[in-house]
Amino acid sequence: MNGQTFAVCLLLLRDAGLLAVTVYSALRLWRATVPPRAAATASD
Amino acid sequence: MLSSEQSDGPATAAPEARLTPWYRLDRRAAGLRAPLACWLLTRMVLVGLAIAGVSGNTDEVHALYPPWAAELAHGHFPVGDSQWQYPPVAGLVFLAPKALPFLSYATAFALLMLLCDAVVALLLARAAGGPGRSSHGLWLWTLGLPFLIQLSYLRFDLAVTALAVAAVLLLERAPVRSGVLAALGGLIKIWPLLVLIGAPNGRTARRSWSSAAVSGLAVCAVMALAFRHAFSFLSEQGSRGIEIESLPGSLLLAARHFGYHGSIHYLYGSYQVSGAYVHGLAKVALGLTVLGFLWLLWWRLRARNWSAATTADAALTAMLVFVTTSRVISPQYFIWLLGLAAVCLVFRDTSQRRAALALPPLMLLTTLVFRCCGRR
Repeated sequence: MNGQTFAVCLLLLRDAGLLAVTVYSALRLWRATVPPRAAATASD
Repeated sequence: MLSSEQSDGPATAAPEARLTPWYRLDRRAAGLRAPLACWLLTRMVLVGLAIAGVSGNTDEVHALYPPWAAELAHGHFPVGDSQWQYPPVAGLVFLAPKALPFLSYATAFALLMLLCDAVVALLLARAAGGPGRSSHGLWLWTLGLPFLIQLSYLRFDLAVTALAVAAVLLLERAPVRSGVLAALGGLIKIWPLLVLIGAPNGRTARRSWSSAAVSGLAVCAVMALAFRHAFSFLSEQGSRGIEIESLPGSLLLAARHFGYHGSIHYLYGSYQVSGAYVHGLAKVALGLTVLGFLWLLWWRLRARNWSAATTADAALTAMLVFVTTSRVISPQYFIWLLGLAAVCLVFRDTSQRRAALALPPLMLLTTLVFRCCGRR
């Protein structure tokens, strides 16, 4: 594997990581702040 | 105004913390001495590298910012310069190093960014006191920023990050001042306005958003009166392509290894990919940004359980969505993300702990690719 291919592999690894962190962050924010639909309906 | 603002939010700081002046960090918590000493040590090395010009004299701070500062000193923004991509207050950041004429521009700029870095560290140290708070945010900021080596002192993102961090930390306690800071940040690089997305519903949200709008308009008017061509940057935005450091850019770089005939050119102040599918991919990225923004608005409508950490958590999530989908983004975006992640870790009940801790390894990968492997 030459240097350029290695650099692109690292770049794709970083992008996959960043994408995973973004999805995880969004899911965590949602779960921490949005009540489950059943609970929200009950409280209404 | 000050007293009414400060009574807005819940009193979260411990009584002894509130009686201690903000600059007496030694009295606030002995646990802050280690991270602050570490900050001092790491920053001496980083600023030394930046001032020594380890990366050469082709960086923006040597080749791009000084001519802009010279133009601004003559009372006008760059015109017809495709590399000038920034809202008007960014001009003041480029102009500021000229206040230290006995230093070279690059040295004065690095020292100015060091000052912004110190402001972020002090804000995080100050916020670390009190129940439900921790110094983990300060540790993350202190140990995370060196992963970008000296890059942080060669770009102006630390100035914007300092404003955004201050805006998030003040949002509940002083929404008007928070809105002003976010607007100032937004007039340097747009994205700090996103930190207001997590303003608690009701009076806090109304006050922060309206103060951001009013102060933003007022500062725009002042800049338009003080400088000619303050909004020349708007004409340079539309034709930007895909930057190689962005996520869509890496897809195209990877595709080149499978026969894709794209070329890399220095355009609009960054390395961009030219070739087939670039415009299509740029439109997809823009569509994803819009979708991400719509998701954030939907989240705001549905969110009910607001904790002390929610403002910071929402700011980090919004920034991640914006960064991941952007087609014109550079490695220094990690400075913004790290600053907001550090604010999240100030709160013990943050929902973003793992997301925040995942950032330094990603910063290391970015530095390896763009600095060490010489992708630029």
